[in-house]
Amino acid sequence: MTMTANLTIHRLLDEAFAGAPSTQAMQDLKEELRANLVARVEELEHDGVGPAEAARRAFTEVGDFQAFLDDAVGDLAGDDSPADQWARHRVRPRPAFVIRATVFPIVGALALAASIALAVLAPQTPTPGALSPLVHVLLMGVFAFCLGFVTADSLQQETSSNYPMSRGRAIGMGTGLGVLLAGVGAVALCWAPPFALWLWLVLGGIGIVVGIAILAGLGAGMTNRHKPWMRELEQAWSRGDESAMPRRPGDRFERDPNAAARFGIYTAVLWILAITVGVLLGVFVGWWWAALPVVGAIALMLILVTQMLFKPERREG
Amino acid sequence: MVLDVSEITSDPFASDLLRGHTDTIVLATLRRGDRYGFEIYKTIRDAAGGDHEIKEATLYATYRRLEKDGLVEAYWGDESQGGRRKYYRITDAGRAVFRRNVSAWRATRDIIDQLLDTRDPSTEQA
Repeated sequence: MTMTANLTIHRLLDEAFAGAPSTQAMQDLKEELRANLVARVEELEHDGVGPAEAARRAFTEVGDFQAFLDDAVGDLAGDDSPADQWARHRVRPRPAFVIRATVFPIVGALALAASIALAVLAPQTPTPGALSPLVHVLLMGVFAFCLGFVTADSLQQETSSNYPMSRGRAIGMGTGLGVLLAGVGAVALCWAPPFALWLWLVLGGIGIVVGIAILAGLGAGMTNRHKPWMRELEQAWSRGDESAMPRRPGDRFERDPNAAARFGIYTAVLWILAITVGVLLGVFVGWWWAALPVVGAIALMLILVTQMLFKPERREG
Repeated sequence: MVLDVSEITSDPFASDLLRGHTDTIVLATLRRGDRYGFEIYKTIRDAAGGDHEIKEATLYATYRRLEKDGLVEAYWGDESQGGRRKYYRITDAGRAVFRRNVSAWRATRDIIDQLLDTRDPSTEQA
């Protein structure tokens, strides 16, 4: 079954059970209904019905579910004991995922340990027949990849009561962490560098900054704006639907938190550069000149605001 | 539970009759093996040829009632891509009730046939 159909079923079920007491019996009923809907959606999709339409049709076909739910509420209310809550919120991991989540960190840790061991045991003066320094880089790469992969893999797992993270975002998170760890690894190699010291400092610095920027950007952008109800609302806005208009958020940063995150990161980079250049100018040229980059940074920041916040938006498809 | 006539798609009289026997029909599908909700629904839908349909919402009420009366028991299947499926299994009490309902149905059917005078004229003359 496709992700779209899955998300639509999630949303319709959430809506149907919105007023229902959150007890074990209710959750069981919801899960039973969900599995049946999924089976019907698969049947419809097999007949060539589109995913969103299949989900909606399957749900309508169930009939007057609300009436049944209202009747059953008394029966299903029951007590919500801690044991019930435990059973409800329990996540049952898939075996393949458990194996991946065990093997990859072990491989990563072994690569890290091997890299450190090689650096410690390496002779101080290069000897012919010594291992290529690239082995260190390779081992660090394996370490960073393994942990990045496990992160993306874990984030993408679906639980029975929540929306799964989208694949792109999960991979982005994994990549961010991988790059960050590779950067830390490169800096760690500085105490016994296989190549020139400055190279590891520069690579490490870049890795750490880029990794943090990716994770910060993705983290700031987690706002449910791609969920089905948000898509429907956006369509209503673009149609100019009067009833939907009062709910339309005011400015671009509210509508697109990713743009706000980018603005924050650009600003941080701009000020780090301005302060660095200011200090350098102060030390080498004269402290009167130190204020100049600050003036430049303020001007650039204002231009950035006009470009990102007040520029007319392109229609996205 | 009071059932809503509008839940049935076509001929109200036939659908009413069918729906009056939902419990027995569900028990009948389970006699052939354990099934989860959608399988039971599909069996009924396919047997009725699409003319008469018992809505799934009605079936959920039936499962709950049958389970409460001890005529079926439920268990969870293994987790698949679409979450866990809840399977129903007929109990001995369920089989007994089914047999009783079937003989009651046969007797009633004969009485109604007689009262409505639906016998085939050719067989009556013979």
